[in-house]
Amino acid sequence: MRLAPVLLAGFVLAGCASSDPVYDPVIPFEAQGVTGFRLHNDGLPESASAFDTPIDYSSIQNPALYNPAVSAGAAAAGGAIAVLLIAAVDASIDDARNKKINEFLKAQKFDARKVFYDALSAELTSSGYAVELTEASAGAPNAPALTLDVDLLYYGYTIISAEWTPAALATVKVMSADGKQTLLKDSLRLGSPPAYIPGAMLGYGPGGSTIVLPYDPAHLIANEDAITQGDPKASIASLRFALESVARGAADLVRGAAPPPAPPPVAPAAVAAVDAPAVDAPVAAQ
Amino acid sequence: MKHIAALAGSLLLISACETATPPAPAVTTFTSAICTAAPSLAGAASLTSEEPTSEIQHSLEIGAESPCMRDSSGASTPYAVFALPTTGKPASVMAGGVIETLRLFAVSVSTLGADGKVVRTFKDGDFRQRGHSLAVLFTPRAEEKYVVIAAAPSRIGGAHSLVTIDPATAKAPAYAKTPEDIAAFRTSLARPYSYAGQVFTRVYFADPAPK
Repeated sequence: MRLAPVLLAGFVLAGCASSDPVYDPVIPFEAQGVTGFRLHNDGLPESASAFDTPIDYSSIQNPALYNPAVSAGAAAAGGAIAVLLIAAVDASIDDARNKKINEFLKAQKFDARKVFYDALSAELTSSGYAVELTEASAGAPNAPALTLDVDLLYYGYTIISAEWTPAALATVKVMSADGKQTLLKDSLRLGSPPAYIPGAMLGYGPGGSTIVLPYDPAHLIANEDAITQGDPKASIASLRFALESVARGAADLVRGAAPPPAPPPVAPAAVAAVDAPAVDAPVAAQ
Repeated sequence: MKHIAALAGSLLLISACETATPPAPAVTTFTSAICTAAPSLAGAASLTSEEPTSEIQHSLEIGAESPCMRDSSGASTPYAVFALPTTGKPASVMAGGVIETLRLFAVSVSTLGADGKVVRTFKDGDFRQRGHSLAVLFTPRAEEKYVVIAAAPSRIGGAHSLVTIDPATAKAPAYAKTPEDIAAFRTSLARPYSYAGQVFTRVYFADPAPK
């Protein structure tokens, strides 16, 4: 599993060598009179992840640090075999951790997909948009509606120093009713999703365009074992926070771009959601 | 001899740490002898690329030496003007202030037409934290030729929070044991708005900009 990101990183680096620019702009949109969205329901990976900081391969790749007495062939390969061995061990540790966490989430009956789409639907309906949750393969919508696609490239936990925090990275797209035009393309990040995912790195100076969602320091988890063996309520609350933050962030993008119709006069639940702090609310004097 | 060299080397390293420029603090006052009623387009930073590119960015520091204009409320404010590309069709423009270690420019963003008149001014709610910045993202309209970034006096005295809670009451992590550590931790959760700081404008292209 860990090899995939390593290979991906390699491809990304190889991409840097090319002088041809890659045209992939972040796209805002302005729209009026948008009354509803269809949501594709396939935006979450099958399982949560808990990504540890990878082992630093740079020192291992130095053949001078590799003992040729063990294997002259390996030394000649520039330590590449050692790297592969360590990557395999590292990956199996990651796999074991991910398995443990997903078993824990299953035991806690935590349905990430339901939590996410419930939160996203609630955010949108509370603003007065009509929402239709559909299979990605579904045909044309019943009524002309824009499609909102939120793809979580990562959700779970990541390590910061010694502690673990909830993390997520998502792309947000709005497509025209006929599906032919991309009206909005953006991305959101919470915590520190792993660097192999495009958009996860903030970059230098002003950084990239990825929207950084505000976090809550109360969701720090002391160590790896505490995720599955500590207070289950705290672990679940922190993952729920990640998913709901992304849902609110995506809804805020849409609300900012296409002013919602007047909210329908209903439901106390909807009113509560409106009162929830907006992700990009201007911050008052602290 | 070796020891002396090593010792001298260590001292040099230590002195290098001591002489490193400390992060710039927030500046909460601004006065200028000369202040114009509207931004001057002379000296606008160009965002026109000579080579085909997917994006182009210009960043600069606004501060006490920057030109001064009066905002809609008549308050004096420092500003910088960026000229949007004259070649190619921008897909989007991102403009804002860089989140620095101890401060964030009290950013406000407007667009101007060729005549220097304001086309639109973005609301506080249009700004989002993107990368290490607080910025707006928009598709420029045909009549928009310039971007003006100025300080918003209404932001001064406030701070941009990086967290969903009130930083003043945030529970400190285990490593922060002394009152100083706890105060430093809480300070790290927000950036006070400043009249001085790094700002930038970046243009994304959907297709190669023709020469």
